[in-house]
Amino acid sequence: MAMPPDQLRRWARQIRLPQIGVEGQEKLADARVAIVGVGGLGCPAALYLAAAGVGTLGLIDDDEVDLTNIQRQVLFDESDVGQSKVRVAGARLSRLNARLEVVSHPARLTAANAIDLLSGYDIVVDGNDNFPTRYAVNDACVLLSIPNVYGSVLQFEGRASLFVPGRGPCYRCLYTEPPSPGVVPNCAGAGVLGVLPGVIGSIQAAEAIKWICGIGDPLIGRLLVVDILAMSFEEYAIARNPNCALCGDHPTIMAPVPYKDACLEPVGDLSSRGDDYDLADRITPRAAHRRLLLGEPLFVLDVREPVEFAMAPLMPSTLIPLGELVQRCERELGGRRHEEIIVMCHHGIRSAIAAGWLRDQGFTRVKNLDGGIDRWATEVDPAIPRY
Amino acid sequence: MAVTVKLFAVYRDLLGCSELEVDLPAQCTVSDAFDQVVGGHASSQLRQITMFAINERYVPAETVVNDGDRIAFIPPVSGG
Repeated sequence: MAMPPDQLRRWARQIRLPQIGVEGQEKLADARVAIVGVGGLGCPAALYLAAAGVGTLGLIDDDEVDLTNIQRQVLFDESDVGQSKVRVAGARLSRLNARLEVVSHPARLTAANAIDLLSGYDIVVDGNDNFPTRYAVNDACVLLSIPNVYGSVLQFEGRASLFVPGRGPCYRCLYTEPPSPGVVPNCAGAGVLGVLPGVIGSIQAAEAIKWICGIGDPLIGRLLVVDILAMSFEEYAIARNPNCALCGDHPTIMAPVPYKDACLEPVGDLSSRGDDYDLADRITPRAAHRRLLLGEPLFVLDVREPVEFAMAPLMPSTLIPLGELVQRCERELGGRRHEEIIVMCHHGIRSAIAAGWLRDQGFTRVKNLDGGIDRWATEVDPAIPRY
Repeated sequence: MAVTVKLFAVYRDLLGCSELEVDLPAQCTVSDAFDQVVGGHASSQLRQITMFAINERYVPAETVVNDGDRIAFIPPVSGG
């Protein structure tokens, strides 16, 4: 059936492109795309996919809009704070294209529900913000044989690729297992320039559109690394790993694998974890605060950046940003090798890195402040600003 | 031999730069290079989860580095 005149006009600028044409526009209208995480990456990706005329967008996110999101999550404005992201985004995208069908999944994608949530979609745009969900999306996409448009951002650095089962590597071919909770900064702690997920999310949308229309050179076997400070775009050649436990020659993973999330839980060994503890290698804000109230002088090492320290100081403490620790350690901490040092940051991720390094240098009584200043603000002192 | 090392994500924070020139012994693997450059700054856990590249191509950790190579240490990041 020929495309009606109103639709020809609606998509005129794209149909005019010989690589798209009416045929490509119809492929877009027939396509079902799942967006995992309606955040910094998911917002621009969903906007451009809806604007391009994709027929069905599945929005998967269990979060509500937070004031700190709006700096980069361009589907939301200040009046949306506290509202369901999926609901606000769905309403906005439906206004953009009345023919768009939005499927709302106000759920957190996990290893347990990934297969159910992603079944039936033609392609997945992965814009989530944590390792357990990354692996659940990757595992489910390989098992369901769905292309996965990968994107991630941190600070000024972004990455994108297209993982197509049977045609190139999957995420596990690059990183066989997620890092243990707390080994790398992977959440709000490290910060991100708002426009960076705009760039990477738009690249993800472009890859999805190209794949649906079957045009151009897809990012298969190529990891694009973007540095927005240097404004450099570099490509790394990546290949399928024949020993990959998921997509290799002799796969052993038959269902998405669940992992623990460092962003949702305090760092450390689960077996000895409670709500309130003071252990050899870590301490909760409540336990540290209790010792302060008893008049005990604690030595607190703050490894955040000066600007964070100025926004929300925890006094008294010694400030040495993580990046300066190696140079300043001996001079400023050398005399404390066998004294207790409580290391803290925003969420307890950077401080866990610092604590591990200090122990390697022979410091014998280093404790991580689990959950960082943010947990201190929620559990101990609401007067400390959260950021 | 002289090689260029490109650093990403947490390694930039740890070493305070994004690129550096290093002098490595002959027959050095990319994993040895990691230990020499980053080893003093990060726990061994990080090496196991880092992707290595030589001349913009992903390589296994035991790959030998040659004079003039550009090597990269790319840890996983998950922000979205």
